[in-house]
Amino acid sequence: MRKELKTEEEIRAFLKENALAHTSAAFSDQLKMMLEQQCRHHHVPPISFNAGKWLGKVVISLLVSFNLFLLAYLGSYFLSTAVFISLLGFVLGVWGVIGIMKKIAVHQVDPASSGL
Amino acid sequence: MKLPAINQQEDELLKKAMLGDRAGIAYLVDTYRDFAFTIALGIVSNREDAEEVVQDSFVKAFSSLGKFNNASRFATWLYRIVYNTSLTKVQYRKPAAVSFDITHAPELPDLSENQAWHSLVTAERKQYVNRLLSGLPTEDRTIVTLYYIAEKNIGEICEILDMNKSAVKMRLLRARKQLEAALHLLLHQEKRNLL
Repeated sequence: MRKELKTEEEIRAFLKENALAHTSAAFSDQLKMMLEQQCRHHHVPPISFNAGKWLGKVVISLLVSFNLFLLAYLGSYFLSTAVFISLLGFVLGVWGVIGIMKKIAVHQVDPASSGL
Repeated sequence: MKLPAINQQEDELLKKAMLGDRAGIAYLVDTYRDFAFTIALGIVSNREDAEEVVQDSFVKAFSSLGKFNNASRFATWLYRIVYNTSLTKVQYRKPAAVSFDITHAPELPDLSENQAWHSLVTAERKQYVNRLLSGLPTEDRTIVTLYYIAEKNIGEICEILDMNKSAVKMRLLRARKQLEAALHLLLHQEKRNLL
C-alpha cells in the first residue's frame, strides 16, 4: 500500500513537471481583460443577496395570508367552497406551470452539459 | 491537500471576481488556465484550438459565476465546460485545420553549457511524456490530467466527464499501469545515459 502510494505521488510529481501545458502570457492578459469587460457589462449578483431570499419568501407569504384573511372576512363569496377551491386550483396550477417552464429554461441554457 | 485557510482565501477571491474585481479575476485565470489548457490540448491536439476552447470556457463559466460559493466547485464546472467544448470543437473541425503540433518545443534561450544540457533533457522528457499521453484514449488522458495534474477526486471527475465511478476507476487504473511502466523505463534510460 505504501509502495503504491509512493508510486502515485511519483507519477503526480512527474506529470505535474512534464505534462502540464502552459499558455502564453499574452493569451493570459487578453483573457483577463476580456473577463473584466464581461463582468463590467453583465454584473453578476453576489451570493450575499441570495442569503436573504428566504426572508423575502416569509414576508411575501405573510402578506398573502393576511390578504386572504381580509378577503375571507369581507367577502361573503369566499364562504362558497366551490369558488374557493377553483381559485386555489388556479393559483397552484399557474405556480406549477411557471416552475416547469423555469426548469426547462435552465436545462436549455446549461453550457456545461451542451458544450456550445 | 489544500489547507482550510487557503480554501477560505480562494473563496474570498471568487466572491471578489463575481463583483468584477481585477485581483479576483486574475487569480481565477492564473490558477486554472493551465489546467484547462492541458485538458483542452489533450483533446483538440492543437494549441490555437485549445486556446480558443479555454477562452470560450472561461467566458461561459464566468457568465454563471454567481452560482458558486467555493472555488473548487467553480473549477469542476470550468473543466466540465472545457471537456464538452473541446469535444464539440473536434466534432465540427474542418479536416484541413487539423495539425498535430502537440509537442510544442520551447525556444532555448542563450544559456551556459550546463543549463543548455539541462533544458535539452527537460524538453526531451516533455516530448516523451506527450507522446506517451497521446497514446492513451481521449477519455483516459483526460482522466489522468484531471486526477494527477488538476488534483480532482474520482467523484468530481465523474461529474466533469459524466461517467460512472467504476468506469473512471477502471480507466484510471489502466492508465496508471501504463504510466508506471513508462516512468520506470524513462528513469532507467536516463540513469544509463548518465553512467
